[in-house]
Amino acid sequence: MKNIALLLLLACTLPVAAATDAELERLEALRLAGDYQAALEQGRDVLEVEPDDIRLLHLLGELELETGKLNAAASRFQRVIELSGQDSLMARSKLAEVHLQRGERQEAAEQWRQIREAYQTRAGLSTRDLHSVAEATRHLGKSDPQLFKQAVRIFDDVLRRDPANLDAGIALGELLLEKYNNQEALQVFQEVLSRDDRHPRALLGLARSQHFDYSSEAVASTLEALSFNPNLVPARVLLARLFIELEQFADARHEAELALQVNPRSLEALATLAVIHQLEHDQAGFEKIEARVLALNPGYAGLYTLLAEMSAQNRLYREAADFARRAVELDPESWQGYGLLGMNQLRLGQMQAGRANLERSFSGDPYNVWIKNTLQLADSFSDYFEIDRGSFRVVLHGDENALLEEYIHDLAQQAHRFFSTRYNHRPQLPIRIELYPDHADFSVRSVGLAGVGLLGVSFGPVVAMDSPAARERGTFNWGSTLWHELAHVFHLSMTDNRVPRWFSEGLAVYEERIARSGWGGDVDPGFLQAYLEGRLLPLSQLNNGFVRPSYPEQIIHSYFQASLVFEFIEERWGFDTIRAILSAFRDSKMPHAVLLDALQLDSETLDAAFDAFLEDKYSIALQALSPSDDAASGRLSPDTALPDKYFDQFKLGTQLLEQGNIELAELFLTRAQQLFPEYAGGDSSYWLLAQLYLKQERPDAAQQQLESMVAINAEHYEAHLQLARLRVGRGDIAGAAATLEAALFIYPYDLEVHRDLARHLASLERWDEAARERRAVLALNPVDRAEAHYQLAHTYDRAGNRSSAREQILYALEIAPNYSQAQELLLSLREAADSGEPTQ
Amino acid sequence: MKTVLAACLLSLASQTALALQHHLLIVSGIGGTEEYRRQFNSQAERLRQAALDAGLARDNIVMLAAESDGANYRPADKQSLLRAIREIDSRAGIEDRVFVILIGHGNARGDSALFNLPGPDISADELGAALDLLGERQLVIVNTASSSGPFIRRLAADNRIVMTATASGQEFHAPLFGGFFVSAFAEAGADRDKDERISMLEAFDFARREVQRSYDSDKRLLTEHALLDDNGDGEGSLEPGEYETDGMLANRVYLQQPRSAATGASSDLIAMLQRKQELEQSIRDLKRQRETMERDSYYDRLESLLIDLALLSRKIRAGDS
Repeated sequence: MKNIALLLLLACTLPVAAATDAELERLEALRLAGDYQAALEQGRDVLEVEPDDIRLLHLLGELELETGKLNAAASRFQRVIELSGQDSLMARSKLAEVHLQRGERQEAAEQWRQIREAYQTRAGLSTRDLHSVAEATRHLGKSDPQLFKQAVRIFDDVLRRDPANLDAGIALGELLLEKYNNQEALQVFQEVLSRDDRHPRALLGLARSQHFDYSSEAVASTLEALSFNPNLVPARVLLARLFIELEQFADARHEAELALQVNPRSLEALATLAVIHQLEHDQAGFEKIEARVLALNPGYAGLYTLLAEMSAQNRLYREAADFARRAVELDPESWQGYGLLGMNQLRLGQMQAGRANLERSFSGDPYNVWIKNTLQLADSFSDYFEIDRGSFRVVLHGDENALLEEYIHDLAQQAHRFFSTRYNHRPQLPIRIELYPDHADFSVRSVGLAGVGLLGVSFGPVVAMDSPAARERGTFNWGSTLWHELAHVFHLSMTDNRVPRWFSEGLAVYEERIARSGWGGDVDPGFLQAYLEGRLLPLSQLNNGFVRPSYPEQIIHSYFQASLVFEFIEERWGFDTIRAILSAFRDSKMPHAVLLDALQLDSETLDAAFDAFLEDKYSIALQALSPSDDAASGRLSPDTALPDKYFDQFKLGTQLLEQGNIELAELFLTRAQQLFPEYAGGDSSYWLLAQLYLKQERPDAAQQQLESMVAINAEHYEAHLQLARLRVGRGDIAGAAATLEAALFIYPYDLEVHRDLARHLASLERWDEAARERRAVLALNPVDRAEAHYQLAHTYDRAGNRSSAREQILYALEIAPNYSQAQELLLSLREAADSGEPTQ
Repeated sequence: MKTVLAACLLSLASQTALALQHHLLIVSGIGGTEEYRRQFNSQAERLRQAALDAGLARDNIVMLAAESDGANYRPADKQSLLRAIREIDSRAGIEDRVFVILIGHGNARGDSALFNLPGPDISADELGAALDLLGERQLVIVNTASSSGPFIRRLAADNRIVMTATASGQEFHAPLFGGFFVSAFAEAGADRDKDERISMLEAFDFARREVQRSYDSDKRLLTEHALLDDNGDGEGSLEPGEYETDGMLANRVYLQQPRSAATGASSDLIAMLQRKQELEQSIRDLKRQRETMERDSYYDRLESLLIDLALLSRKIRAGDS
């Protein structure tokens, strides 16, 4: 297509004549450039001279097909078949496409069968014929999935014989992509583009491939495709969907309408428009489009699969399941429909029905890696326990059920009580909470694929998340993650799942910070540098930071930025305003407008006010992080380090520490801390100074640093343990217990921590909590089980729970019958029982 | 119940009450690095101290060390090791029990495994041949080295407890087993049945579980799988137990030097001890029936026996004090 310009020039200058190769090339060039109208007009003129020109008839048919003139297209293809010329198989293939678009599935299948028959009986088929055979094989693969492999082989054969056949290359890429083999699809599209880097459909294929990989480059590739063919309907449709993913519905509508101007019968464009109406709560508009689609094609399940897919992307899982159900009612071979139905049923906690539908989907489309992964995960569900208590159903792997169940339930109940009051709302119960000890399993549960970087996900009444075993110690606080996801449960429930992603994420992080000191992330130098460099997004575009980040840290920055927005709103307008906004989202078409209305600000003023808030909040740090003209060019030294620049002070402090110059290191690290007191990461001045003070045997100073650190950063396990030890050293047992309890939110598998905590709680006579810790010790399968049972029995006894104490002491003595302390406790329990002392 | 008498009497049931002697040979092999040298010598020293605390005669403890200048140590080359075994043979009684603990590195090629010593290493065959000299005496042999798995097949025999830190010669990373095995005697936590003695089975089990816990805690794949063989078939068990293929003998053998201290006990005390043994046996019998009983009935019956035992133990302790 490198010569499009030349061909277009020819198209404008050459007189109309018989269908010569040059004329056909000219028309093809117009078609590729999207000038369908001119191509049709000029083609019809030529046809008047050459009414039986097969190639011309075919081209006109394709143009009419692309512009929605289905009857005309069908006539052209029919005529080609009647003339029985060289193009009959391709014409049959195109005729089948017309039937398919009208919903005439049997007629389409008949054409495909005839093509297959020709393939099996005729020798010497051309590459164009084989292309048609491959297309027919691909379509018939819907009922016989093994045929997809054959279709790929036939396409390969075509391309081996005719490597310059770009249409076949693009079709092969689309087939591979359709069957989830994006790696090879991408290679095929790149191969086509290496031959013609301006081919609109190849660029569209590349965009779809990038979109498959969640790459933000998909937008640029789509726009490039449209720059060469502004009327390429599938590209407009893709662009519209990309806008929907960003919740930019007005832009999406514009693209869908442009597509419909070219092809008013485009089912994909109409379905996309239906999605927009649905997401904008425009029921009347939606029904109108729905009726229009079904009038054009009464069996078009694609309308409902798209609605299901996009609803799920917008967290509308119940609607997604409903639409998917309609898809399979309309087309019993809609494997995608069964898959979407099953996936969304699982998200809604309908485990058995979901699994059955996934199995149905997989039987018809065994290439779907999402479904395959999810079914494999479902096979492992028998290894999990489901425990119903209070408002929750907690699902835990058998290996960690005994240890974690109590902690999960306790925290979940706390969250439920807190959020019910705070939001004055009761979500649907029970809330299902699933924890996965293997991150890959959680990842599959969330999106169907391993490798997603999330910690947790809330589908509404169902929360799934990593268990603490799934992550490196010190990189994850399961308590704050659970709190975050339960906040989502309330946000989604209050809004009928109609809350912008940035809003829900930011508010959930903000709720973490409200819940416990140290939860909810903390500011780091990278975030403030991004602000200084103008890389943080304005609030109106904050969704992009979550959906399509433009730099690696943008997602994390967007979470934190969004959380600050709520700190800003609550400080300025109060929490009632946040509640009111959530309520308004439920019925709103324009989420951003809801926000602006509630705050009585326009978009620019809001951005400016937020910036002012941020600059005020971090005024010292921002100043200390801003670049300086006086920056030293060479090696940092006490003489060259700028006293008001954080990095100068911090780097020099760490250098001096490494060199063993502790006194000077303390000086510079302390200064760094003054310049950026909000930063408490694992490499922060707090940690370094605490270690420095411990070395100097200055426990008070070390404790002060560690206390400040964990108040900001609740993910540093060692800091918690060190702080607990220091507090014990000072006799602050309650403080030590609180710190160890906080440490359990990071890593609950350390037996010694549970033992220490049990001892501390016992010395505080908090027997019920001490018993919880003793139960945890047992759950961790200690070598000395007799001792663990004895300690639990003793704790139960002190808590007044004698029946449990008896049970545990019998367990202890069953292992160690001569365990003298346990024997004495047994006798004491028996004496108490015999004397009728009251028990719990 | 920390008194000598009670401890002695408790040992009546399982140990010969005559002057059975325990002999301990600890070999601290070549470390290769300062870190391992220190680690091996520390383990050897801790074990020696634990043995002394357990009542072993100082003269019955022989320490060989590849890299130590301590006064308690003799060189740990192959000839010294073989000589030490011959010395034990010449001085130990026929009923005596011999413990041989190898602490260090090892390596293997195919089925042939070596324990690393200064100069020539000692192979499983060479060690086996030397230990065969000890005849029918009860032996406890523990090889805590890497790639020690093949030793078990060669050393296993009737009346022997053999432990290796690894299940095969392919497990060549320095194992953690040895450190935890020594800790079982030197620290609290391994005395599972609370009889104030550590059986070989308890020590093995303690070490095995602590190894697992350590790997789990560091999120590392377990690269060592300790084995114990005490039925002489040379197969070794990963999880031996009192009622398992391996473990019955190891459950009855302790590092503690048995004493012949029942002399002088009153007839009442002896009667109480006999009753106590009967109760313990009844508890063991009941536990064997557990699977066939209703849960509540089982625990009611167990409680009854345990209360009898507890009351009796209280009386014995009172009498002792």
